[in-house]
Amino acid sequence: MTTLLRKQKTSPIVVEEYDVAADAKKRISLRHARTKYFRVRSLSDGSFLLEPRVLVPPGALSPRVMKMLDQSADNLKKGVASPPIDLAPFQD
Amino acid sequence: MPFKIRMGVPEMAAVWSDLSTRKLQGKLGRNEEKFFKKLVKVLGLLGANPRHHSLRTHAIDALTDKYGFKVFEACLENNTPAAGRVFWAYGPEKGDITVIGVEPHPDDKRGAYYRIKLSGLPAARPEAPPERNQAS
Repeated sequence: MTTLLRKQKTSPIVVEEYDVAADAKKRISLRHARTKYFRVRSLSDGSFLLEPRVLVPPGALSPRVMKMLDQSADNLKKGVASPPIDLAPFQD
Repeated sequence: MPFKIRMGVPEMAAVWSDLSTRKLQGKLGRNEEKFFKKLVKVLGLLGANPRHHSLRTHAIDALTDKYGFKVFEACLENNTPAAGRVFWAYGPEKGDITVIGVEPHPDDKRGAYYRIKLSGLPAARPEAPPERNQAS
């Protein structure tokens, strides 16, 4: 007998509702915000919709760079590298 | 003590060979020219002093663990979030520095992996209407 596990989806519920006034620079504070980053959608009716976001690591290397590093590292371990380069023609 | 700069083989050496040849022929594009100028400056500094403050050299633990020798990263630019990086290691001989990679890859779209991206969220399901009381 197989059991099918279904991902439980929960729709958001309103946990807090309050009125705020924007300051002189049109800023408002979010109370109890759990994330630092948000996607903001400004709607035609004057509403703003904020969705939490998280940062993706910017240091991720592209597959091409990883391949380049892997090959160079393998050869360097074997003591293989190019001859020394001459920078003189390119330096001001 | 000045270091000899070598390029990792095969790809890094090929990239350097291609860029330097085309530079001498005056055939580099505008962006390639900018990239090459920065690369030459960084390689010059690396050769003179790998710990030069403007290189912001630091070891990359993840790559060091992966390859079994110490891998360092130097920045192509300062004060630029989308700056490129040069990956290098000491060796193969004493007094040598080998550049094992450079990012952005010359064939990658510029800065494609540097932009800080924000994750998306799955589309929220519309609120279910409140259940009606069937009793009447």
